[in-house]
Amino acid sequence: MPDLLIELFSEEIPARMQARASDDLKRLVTDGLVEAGLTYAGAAAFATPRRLVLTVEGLNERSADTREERKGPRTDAPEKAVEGFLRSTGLTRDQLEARADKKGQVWFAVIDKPGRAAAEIVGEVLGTTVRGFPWPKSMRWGDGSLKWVRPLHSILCILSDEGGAEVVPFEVDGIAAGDSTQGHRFMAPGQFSVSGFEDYEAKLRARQCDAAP
Amino acid sequence: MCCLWRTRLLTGSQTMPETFKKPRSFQEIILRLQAYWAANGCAILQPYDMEVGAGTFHPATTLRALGPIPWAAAYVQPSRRPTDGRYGDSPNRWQHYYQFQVIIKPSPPDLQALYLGSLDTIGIDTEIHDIRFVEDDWESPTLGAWGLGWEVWCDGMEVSQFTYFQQVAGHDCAPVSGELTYGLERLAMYVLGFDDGNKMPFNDPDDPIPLTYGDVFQEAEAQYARWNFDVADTDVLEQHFKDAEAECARILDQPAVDPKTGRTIVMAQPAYDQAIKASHLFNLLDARGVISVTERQAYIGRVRALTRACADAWLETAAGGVV
Repeated sequence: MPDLLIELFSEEIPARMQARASDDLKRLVTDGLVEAGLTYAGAAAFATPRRLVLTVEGLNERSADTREERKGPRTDAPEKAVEGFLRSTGLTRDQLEARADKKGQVWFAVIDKPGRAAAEIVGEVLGTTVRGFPWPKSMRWGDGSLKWVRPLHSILCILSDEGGAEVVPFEVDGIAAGDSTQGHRFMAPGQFSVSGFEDYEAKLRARQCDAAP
Repeated sequence: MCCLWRTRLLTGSQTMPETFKKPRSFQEIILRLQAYWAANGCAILQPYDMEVGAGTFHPATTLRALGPIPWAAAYVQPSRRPTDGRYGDSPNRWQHYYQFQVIIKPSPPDLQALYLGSLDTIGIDTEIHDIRFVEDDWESPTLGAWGLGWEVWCDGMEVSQFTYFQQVAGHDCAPVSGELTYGLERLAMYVLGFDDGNKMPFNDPDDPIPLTYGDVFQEAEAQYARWNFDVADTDVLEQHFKDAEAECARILDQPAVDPKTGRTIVMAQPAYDQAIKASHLFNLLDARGVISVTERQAYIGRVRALTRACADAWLETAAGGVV
């Protein structure tokens, strides 16, 4: 069961927006994960002037395989109705099954959806979250088009378990996720990489920042 | 919350040696800022030769923030706010004061670091002083402009404005310009250690003829305060406002192709000069106390309409991005 750590590192977030933003990050990401079929044991979010942090513990490695059955038109229905059904299910005619129903022979579609890796889902959910984040006021900077409360500089996004940590492949507006961040602007500037939330918290504290006071 | 700096600040600042050579005068702060921003890629411009209320009005900011063409400039801008006159008696308020302005388009990713480097260059050690970026959204109703950013605090005192322009004269900024504005008097008083700005050295105190800020400006402050508040002819000012407004419109009404040279010359900047004039005339009328609350809104709207028209025209020029 891997743990997920996300840190969105930006220029100074207005003080009045920090608490709400960390709550929103937790809500949007965990809701997105659950909707995509992942469960988790616990989650907590934090903010500092320059970062929003989310830690999710005990995430599934994959979402479960699912099978969906959909009832379509009768087998003797007009061609157009059958074509519409194929379009909506994404199947071809030979993949449909004819089954007996009260009204006669009816086409059924059986759609098997294999589960997806947590990393893939996390990347997707994080992209939606970052692009649609509900800041009270947001802005553009440089020559980019992404909107954030102040310029967003880096994204830390790792899945970690006993075997080690892995960066979630993710990119938004030229900012690629990694496993590193920075210490306090004045007291401990400089980049460092982390392997999980405990490591993150400890290293950050050693660099004069408290993520979870 | 980052909290550990507090303890370090309290225990450390007492013993930490002053490793910087601090500037000794008002002008040295200006010279250091100019040298710093020149070294960091800015064209060092001179003040715009008109009365403006802030450095943002300089065409190097207002007009150059428009359109796609990259830009990097820094300059001192004498700024006039007639209502701020105190006859030279106030230790920290003058109707004529200086802003140091930096404008870079597109805003570079390390603009905050560059800014902090500029504080370092004028003797503010960020290891000793408490520097904070405090939410402050900037808006100029007369320029039809707004941006998000911070006021920068040094030990609890505002020393700069830091803004990412989102809109200027009603146009979305793309790319976005980063704008830094230093209030030079306040910054200098802090760096030089003076509670009374008039007493701070303008040139080096060891110069053969040492001059204070008050030696240079106090007399003029009294004279302008009297004129701004009580003597300026309001009928004439009102007429000048109308004239500037009319001339602005007349300039922009000219056909783009100049009949004499046959070239396309859209006269956005001469028109913008008239908008600047109108804005200052409005400020003078305001200081004379002849503008009611409702008239005030109307005047601001008229200046904003002028600025908007000039910006539209600027975007039809090569400097505004027309190929």
